[in-house]
Amino acid sequence: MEERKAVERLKRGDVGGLEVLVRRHHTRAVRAAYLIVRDRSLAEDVAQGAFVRAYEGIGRFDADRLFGPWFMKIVINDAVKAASSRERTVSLEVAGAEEALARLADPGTGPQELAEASEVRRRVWRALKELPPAQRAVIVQRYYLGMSEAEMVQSGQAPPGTIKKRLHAARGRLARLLPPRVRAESAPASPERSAPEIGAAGGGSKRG
Amino acid sequence: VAELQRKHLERVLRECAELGVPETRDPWPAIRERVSEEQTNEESASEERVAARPHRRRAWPPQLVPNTPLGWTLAILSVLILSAGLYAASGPVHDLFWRGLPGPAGPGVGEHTDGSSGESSSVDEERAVREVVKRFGERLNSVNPQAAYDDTVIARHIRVAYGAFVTPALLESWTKNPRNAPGSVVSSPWPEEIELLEAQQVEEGLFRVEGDVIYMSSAEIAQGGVAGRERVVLSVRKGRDGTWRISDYKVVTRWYARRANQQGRGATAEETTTDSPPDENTHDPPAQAPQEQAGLFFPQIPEPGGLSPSALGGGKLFIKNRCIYMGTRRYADVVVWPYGYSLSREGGRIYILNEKRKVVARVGEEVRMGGGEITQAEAGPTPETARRQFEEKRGELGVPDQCRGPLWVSSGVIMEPEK
Repeated sequence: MEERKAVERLKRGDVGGLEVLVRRHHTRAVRAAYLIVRDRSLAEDVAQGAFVRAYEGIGRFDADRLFGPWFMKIVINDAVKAASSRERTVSLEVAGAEEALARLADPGTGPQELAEASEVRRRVWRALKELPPAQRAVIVQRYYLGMSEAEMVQSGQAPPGTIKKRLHAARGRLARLLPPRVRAESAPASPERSAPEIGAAGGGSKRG
Repeated sequence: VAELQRKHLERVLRECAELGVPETRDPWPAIRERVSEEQTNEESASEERVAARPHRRRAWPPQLVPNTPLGWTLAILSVLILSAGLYAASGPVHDLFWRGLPGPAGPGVGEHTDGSSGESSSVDEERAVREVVKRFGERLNSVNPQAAYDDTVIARHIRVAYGAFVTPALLESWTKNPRNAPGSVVSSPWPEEIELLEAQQVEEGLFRVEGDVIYMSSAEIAQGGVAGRERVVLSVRKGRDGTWRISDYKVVTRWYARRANQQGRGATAEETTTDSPPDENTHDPPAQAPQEQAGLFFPQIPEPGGLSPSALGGGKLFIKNRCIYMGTRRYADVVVWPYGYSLSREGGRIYILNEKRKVVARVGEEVRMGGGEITQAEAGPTPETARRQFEEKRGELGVPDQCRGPLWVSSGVIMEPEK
């Protein structure tokens, strides 16, 4: 309700409405962009720019729909563009990013589990790097933002066929990139079976 | 199995994101600034487009009109015939539109509709103007035009806070000289809002708005009332894009709440008396007897802590009619000194001392002071009310009749750093 009012205010040209939306969506936007561009400052810049673009384009936004998915589409598109242009020229790997990934652990996790968890994150992070930005984006949309394939199609960043193809390719590639132990960690099945199953996980309509 | 793996991937991605971006700084100031910059750029681009229009116009006619005498003659004739046709059609069409088909109530309804439509448009415009001033007023507290930053930083703050509400020309004048911009100079009291008193249409696309900037402090938040008021007169213009923007902002008078204390006037320490707005018929504040020191009139703010240094003033201190003025011979203010200041005469020179008995200024020399100017209202509700308000203020501050002219109510002399 508050979001709808904020959108109405923004449509009337009241920047105060944007403030409400910024406070609500900023962290998630930066994190989603970070998973694609792999650089925190660039991710923050992408998110800021997306808010400015949302402000400019709010006139085209249908107020009957949810602001979040519409805005996230801008974030994802901008992040893909930013990542593509940066990765053509420089490596985006930030020193210490992998070390940082090793730090997070659930309270009470034992040393063995801790080490394994950090290893899994490192592997996933590296595997994501190997994906082209557009494929990375579909993984982020599907598994971080919790969008269904239908929602990804609705977001309109690519035709349905392209989305399906990208998602399939990304899943397959991710499955190949992740070592068998990681693929099998959550599933007692054999690594050979589990890889395609990551790929088969899509298509649902779960919302995160 | 697939579900487990999907959940696992979701969790790992979430962890990666949270580790990479554990928390985010408050993003709003930066985004607000970017939005404001976009607006400013858009305005500049729009003005450039407008400026470039004549060139396009020059290029336009040859495409439609053959550049020959016959071509031009035919074009002019066509325009004349078209105009005559439109003129002939406009009367009946207009009548039909406003009055409806002829009938028993036809003419009366037409007249009524015509009148109310104009009125409604004017009401809408006034509403838009009031909205702009109101929203601008809400931004006053976000700019400190006298902050100890580089002027470029203050200018950026001004652009961000006021950019959407003032004309580019006014914005430029404030960003070039931030100390002339309105804002919040001290943390308390702060300008809370603009209370609108009157909005009058001066001409098509121009309104004159009068209001009070309401100053608040935590005391007023807790106990009610206002800490001070600042009468302002604004011009609000309609731009080419149809938006209303403030094109002029003038402070007419300032007055502040007087806090009575136990020793001073027998009131309780919590008691706060707020000066009445000029157009309210409440009791007059008690006038002070003119104060003299070393043979000169030396009016002072009667109690500590009642004034916010909302502006920066400066000029030469000089004496006229036993009064100390700041400014030039052509334009000067009678100085009302801060509480606790004193005057000393030694060896033919006159010194101003602060509350710690330190010399802060000398008569005959340039000085800079924080404070605010009180002038007889140039455009109060009525000239008589404005005059009365000004005289009341003079009496309250103990300014004798001999010291004519606007007042500079000083919050303190600004000491230049020693070189």
